[in-house]
Amino acid sequence: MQSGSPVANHKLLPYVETTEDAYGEEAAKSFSVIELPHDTLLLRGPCPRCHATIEVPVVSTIFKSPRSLLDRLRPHPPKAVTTGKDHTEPMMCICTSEHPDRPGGRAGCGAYWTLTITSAPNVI
Amino acid sequence: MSYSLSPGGTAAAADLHAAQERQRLLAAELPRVREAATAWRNGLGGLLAALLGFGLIKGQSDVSQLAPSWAVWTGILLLAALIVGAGSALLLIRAANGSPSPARVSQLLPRSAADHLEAVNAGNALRWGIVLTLSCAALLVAAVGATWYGPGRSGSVLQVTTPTGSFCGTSSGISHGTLTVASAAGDVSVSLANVSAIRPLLQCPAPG
Repeated sequence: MQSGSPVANHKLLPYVETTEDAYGEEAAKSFSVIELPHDTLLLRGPCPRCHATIEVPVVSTIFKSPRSLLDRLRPHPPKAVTTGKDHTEPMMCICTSEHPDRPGGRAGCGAYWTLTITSAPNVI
Repeated sequence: MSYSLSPGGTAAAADLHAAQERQRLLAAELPRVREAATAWRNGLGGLLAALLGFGLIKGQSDVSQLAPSWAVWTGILLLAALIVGAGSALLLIRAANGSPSPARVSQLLPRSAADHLEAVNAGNALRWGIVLTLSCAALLVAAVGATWYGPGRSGSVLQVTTPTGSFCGTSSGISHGTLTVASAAGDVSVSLANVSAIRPLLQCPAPG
């Protein structure tokens, strides 16, 4: 997750965990979707608040530890994310631009929003 | 597959926490895979070393002492164990250390996405490495078991004892109560009535 070059007048934008409905609307228009292997998507676009370019991977699985045989036999909740037709993904700014008052270990400017990803098979 | 984006509705604090958790998990995913792969590689390597040591110390050490068909199957099992073991070692090393192949600059991805894809590949290599290592262990156990419990090679030569002495060689057959043995000194025929003992041997004793 990385950011583009910070814009000078956004450097002083303080870190605030905030959301607006307009963030989702703006991101839906400006973000692009790149399909990667292993049911992974890459959402790329400007943060609706600080406008730094961010790239957010949307994954369907994540490695925790090798599953035991018993664990494999247990029922598992359905996979999230890209396999369904519609999926709502929580998003947040993960830019590395400087934002005052950002707590340690955090990234971004604090903006967060949701995006609905709709998938459809390509028609030839 | 084509994808389109639309606003997901009003976000809540839980969405922020979910996004933060996802980012935290993704950032630690590849080191977690590498750590697990290293631990599995060391553990399974120790298991195989112990198994090999145990198998080599005990039991018949010479496959040629087995019956021919058992010796062939034992050889096949050992060869399969070698191939499967080499494959498992490569997969476990790949999971723990990554692939040595270079990446095309034109196909470079953002660090977080590239790390996730590498974590998935390493996780798959780790799973297959574990499966193949356990398969290798099973093949080794089968091969060692075959050398322990398989039937020995039956004697291919006969040592025939008569009141006038003994001779050794391969049997040419019995005809009209006479046993013919091809010995180093030539064919020897002896009436079965004069034979006091017949012993099958793996090889004839050295003369003198």
